[in-house]
Amino acid sequence: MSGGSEQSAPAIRLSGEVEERAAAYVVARRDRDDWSESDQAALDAWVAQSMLHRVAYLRLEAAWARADRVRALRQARPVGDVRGHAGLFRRLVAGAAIVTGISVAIYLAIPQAPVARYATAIGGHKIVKLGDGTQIELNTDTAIRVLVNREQRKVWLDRGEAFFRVAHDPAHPFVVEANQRRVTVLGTKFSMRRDGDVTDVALFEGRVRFDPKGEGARAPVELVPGDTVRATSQTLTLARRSQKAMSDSVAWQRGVVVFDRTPLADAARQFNRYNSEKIIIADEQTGKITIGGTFQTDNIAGFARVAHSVLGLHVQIRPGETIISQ
Amino acid sequence: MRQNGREMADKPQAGQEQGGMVQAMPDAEGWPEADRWFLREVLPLEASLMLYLSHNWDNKSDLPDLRQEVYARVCEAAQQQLPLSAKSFLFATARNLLIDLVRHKRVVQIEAMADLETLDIASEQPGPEREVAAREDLRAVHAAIRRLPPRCQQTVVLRKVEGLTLREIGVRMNISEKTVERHLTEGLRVLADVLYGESRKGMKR
Repeated sequence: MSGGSEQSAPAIRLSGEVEERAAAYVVARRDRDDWSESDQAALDAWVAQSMLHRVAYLRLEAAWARADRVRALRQARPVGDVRGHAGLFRRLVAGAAIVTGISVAIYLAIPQAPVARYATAIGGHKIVKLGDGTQIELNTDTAIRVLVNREQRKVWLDRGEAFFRVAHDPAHPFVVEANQRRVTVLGTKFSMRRDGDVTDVALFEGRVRFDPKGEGARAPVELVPGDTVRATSQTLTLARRSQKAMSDSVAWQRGVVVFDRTPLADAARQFNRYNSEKIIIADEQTGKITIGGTFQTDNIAGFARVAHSVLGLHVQIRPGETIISQ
Repeated sequence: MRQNGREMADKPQAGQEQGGMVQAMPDAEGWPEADRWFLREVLPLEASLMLYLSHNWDNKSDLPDLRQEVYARVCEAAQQQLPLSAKSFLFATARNLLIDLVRHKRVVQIEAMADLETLDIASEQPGPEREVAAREDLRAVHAAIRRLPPRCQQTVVLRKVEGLTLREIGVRMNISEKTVERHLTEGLRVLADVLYGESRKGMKR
């Protein structure tokens, strides 16, 4: 790239056409209904062809994803109303009600599927498969209620943490509620955790709308992949996290916790979610020391060993608790 | 294991140890690391880069080409190894590119090159895990959309805000789907320039 001095100047490569093409690809892939595998193959080949292609595509793809933020401005209607049949269905039902109350009465008389309950104990891990194809993976100490029938798909996260792989069904948005916060999705992957009055949502694929609900009636937030939201009774914060941080946050699916410059106090808190035997960090100073690595969620002994041999900390093991100090 | 400066965070650490300890496992999914580095570390510096390039290059119509060339070079290098500091690497690359071009073509004076420090880049550089109020980012995107040409703006709003399909937009605006797509494509290019390329203070392109 730096060579070629006898040749007359490698002029700047013109990027206008490249950018034009990249923009067309981004729009075609994300906005057209008929994007096919062969289209994707063509795009992959084009992107691989030159670094100029690649950076143009990356940049525009990121801009278009960022522009999705404005979906939050659409708050008057529920998600899925525009394209979906839900709105149409509602109008039909409303219409029927005007003509005759009978059909509505019959419709309402269809018995609803009962609410099902699923739970895990401390250290537990379970995958629940629903009738619509959705999978819910429950982490330690978690309880959910599920209501899935012909009219609606709804889950209440009463306690703990779960990872959702929601089957795509635009006509029936999938709603998850925790602490009166609500996530509405059409088909996507995300995790949700409830800890006291704190609700965390992390989006891995697709799109979801997060409804803070309750006091203050804040506008809903549209999430794009990589977004995480933390809601408390007072605040709502949104952060973008790196891919690695995202995948670390759901390492529990593989039965491990991942620490990356994590303060010991946080690490202990994480272990304690999975075990009835608790790790206790004796003092604040010790709690601030950071640790990295991957551990089985029940491997308290391994964690204690590392604290002792690598960090040079003092470890005291008692029945039901492991105390770490300096 | 202890805080070791930001460099360490960028690279997976090689050290592995038996006994349940593996440092920084590679990501299985998503884009290659170099791409993610570009999106995370480089793209947010675009406004500063454009400022730098425009200070040091007379022909303003060359700027987008220069920018893309710098990006391509930076990513080329990142595929071999991630630079320790995105900022200094990006600007060193830009500077080298300009010097190369000047040497060959002798079109501009190079000594006018601004000192990097005067650009106050640091104040604009967000951390990799910056917390943004959703509302603030929404406002930026919203403001950018309002700057689009009218037809173009209308298609972007119908698509992004209302969530209409291309066909529905075509019907609504009485234009072909192809034209809708063209408006969106144009809108995207302008949005990218505004969202990434402009300084927060609201400088014109």
